[in-house]
Amino acid sequence: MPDKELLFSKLSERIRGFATSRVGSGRAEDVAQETMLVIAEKYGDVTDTSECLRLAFKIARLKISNLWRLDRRRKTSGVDSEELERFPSEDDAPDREMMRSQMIDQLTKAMSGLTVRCREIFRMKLDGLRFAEIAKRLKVKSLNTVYVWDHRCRQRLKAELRRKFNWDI
Amino acid sequence: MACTNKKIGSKIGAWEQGLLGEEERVEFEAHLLECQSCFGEAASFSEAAELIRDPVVRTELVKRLEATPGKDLWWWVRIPFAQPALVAVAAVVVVAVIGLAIWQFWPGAETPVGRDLVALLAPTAEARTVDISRMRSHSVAASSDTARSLRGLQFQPEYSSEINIKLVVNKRGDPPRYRVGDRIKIGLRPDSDCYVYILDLQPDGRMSLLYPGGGYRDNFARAGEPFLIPPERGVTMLVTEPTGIERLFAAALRERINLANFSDEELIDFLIDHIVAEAEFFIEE
Repeated sequence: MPDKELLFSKLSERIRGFATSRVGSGRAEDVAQETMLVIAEKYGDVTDTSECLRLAFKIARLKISNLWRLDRRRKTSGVDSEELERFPSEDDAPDREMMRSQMIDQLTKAMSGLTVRCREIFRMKLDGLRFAEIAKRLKVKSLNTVYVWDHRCRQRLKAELRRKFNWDI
Repeated sequence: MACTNKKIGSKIGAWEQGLLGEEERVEFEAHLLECQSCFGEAASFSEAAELIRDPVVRTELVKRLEATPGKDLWWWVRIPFAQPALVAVAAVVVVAVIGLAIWQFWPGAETPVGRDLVALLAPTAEARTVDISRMRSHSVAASSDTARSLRGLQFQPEYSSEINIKLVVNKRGDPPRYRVGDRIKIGLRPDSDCYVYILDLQPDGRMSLLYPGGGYRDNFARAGEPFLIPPERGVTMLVTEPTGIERLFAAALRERINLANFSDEELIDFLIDHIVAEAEFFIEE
């Protein structure tokens, strides 16, 4: 596990890069700083890298969606309104539940549109199978081959979600 | 921005679902903190990944995928006690489906697809032959991961999301039977414009690109129009050994790819992800 200070510094740098692609470089620094502030203040006891990464994704996403929301209110956003609907704020729980249900529907539909091999890989992953086991079931000798296939399938799933349901991913 | 280490970067899907071993997880997370491309990938997909990690959602997704009628025959593999009965049921279903497909799409059948193709696939008196083995290129060994994985694939046409193709050979049967030295011609018809690539899984497990090949390069198939392989009227392919079941897979793409940009294994692997139709036939001595 990396030193916490180093971890935070790297995280901040990466969030800034990610936020730049979403809200522009002018506001990316704010997103990065605010995200790290929340992690430090609310989740100061979290030291696990996986946990920190997942928290960072979640908080940064929320910060970005809040900025889009603000933009919409100001009528200055170029962001598609459907896209905004996928990012309800924290206080609208019923919306979140509906959104979640809609996302499951869309995920299933997008997965159904994939090739047999991709569907099978996703299904085995959903069943919690490790990649060594997936490789065995697919009669594949090299584990890296399965990682590459999974990566491609993931890209295709993203493309389906973007194409069919306008997911911003 | 490109990934700085694709070998590690390809593990992103496994990491998202918590499926990496401890050592690999630590290695991937160190990479994530250094690679902006992978970080962006993971961050943008994190909402969906988070949802998929939820046990309730996982169960729901598996249930829905399995419940989609006729779309997946794999789940029975995981139930050992159910295998014999299910294999029998699956075999009956597969035979029925293939029979129906042959009846429906067979060149002689009373369908517009069949009527057009029957005349075009029938050998003519002045027929010239091309050895089928001369059509093949980009072969991968039977022992390769790509060929091995395809042997396990049971393709169902309804999976294709955009392009549908009817794929037939010029003989009737379940499966159609050819003797070594017989003449074979393949016919297909896409429902939209596309570039077609025919993969050939030979009885010995070797996998090749059958078309485009043998000097034929034009693989653009127009929506609703028959496309013949070989494309020339009066030219057929000569069936050669090894004997056994040979499977043909049609992959369809919206754009032509430059075959020279791929290694043999990469090309076959790429095309497998774009398969939209399958046909098979039996070769005997």
